[in-house]
Amino acid sequence: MEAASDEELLRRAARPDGRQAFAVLVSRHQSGIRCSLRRLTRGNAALADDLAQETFISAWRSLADFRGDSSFRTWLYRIAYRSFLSEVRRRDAHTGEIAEHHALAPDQSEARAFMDDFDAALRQLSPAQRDAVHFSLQRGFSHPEIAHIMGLPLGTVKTHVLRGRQKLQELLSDWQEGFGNDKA
Amino acid sequence: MTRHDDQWLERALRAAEPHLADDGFTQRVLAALPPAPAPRATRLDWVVPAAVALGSAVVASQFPLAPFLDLAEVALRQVQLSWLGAAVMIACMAGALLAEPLRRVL
Repeated sequence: MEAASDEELLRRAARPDGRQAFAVLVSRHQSGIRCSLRRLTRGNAALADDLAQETFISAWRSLADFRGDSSFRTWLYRIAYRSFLSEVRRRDAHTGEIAEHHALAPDQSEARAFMDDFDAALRQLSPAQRDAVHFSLQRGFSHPEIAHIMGLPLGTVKTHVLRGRQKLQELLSDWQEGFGNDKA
Repeated sequence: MTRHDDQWLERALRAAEPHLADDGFTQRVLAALPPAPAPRATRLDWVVPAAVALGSAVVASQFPLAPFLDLAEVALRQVQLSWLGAAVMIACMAGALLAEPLRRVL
């Protein structure tokens, strides 16, 4: 079952005995969803995990509503982003600390330093730019997929991503010759 | 500035991306899952019962009612048990037609 595609697992999960298939989907996507929510909540790991759990439960409840208009992954991130926005509206989470709890391996101190600079650079973007850039740069979603996740017009997303990436490149230019290039 | 120009940034971010160990997260989600949701009723679920009802009404309208009324009068006087059986049969048919859509809605 581990090798099955998301779509195949979805079909199995929708059956009365589908919990095991759904467990594979949760296990497969938990890291990405939790990392994204930690970034969106600016490092609040406890809140991010609560929202991640809420995301998967909401997905489970809505399995019958999934029509395949987007990939399962895009659909899942859309649910996660909407959970995050609901939480923001409820408690104004945009004032929290950024990325205090990122679980980098001990031997990745350079990566940690880069991520700290990246987080500092992100703080200079608007919230919408920050989120769009995250989905583009770190999750590899296309512009239409980001528009679907964030519920924004495609043109708005393109603008957010373009301006956000330009600004990040300027702010992080010191890293251009260093970390990441030799690892590509 | 093109997308190609900042690919180093994309590469760097993905290289620095942490992978969060599950640490029981999946089990916590599974423990919190409600019972499997029943598929929602769709409009199509009502098509068969509605078509049967409509067809029955059309067929019934084509029959002359007088003989049936006479029969009903006789039956009311003489064959009470037969009417009871007919009523049970009609109730069963209606129940069979409506059970699945009602189950999905409820």
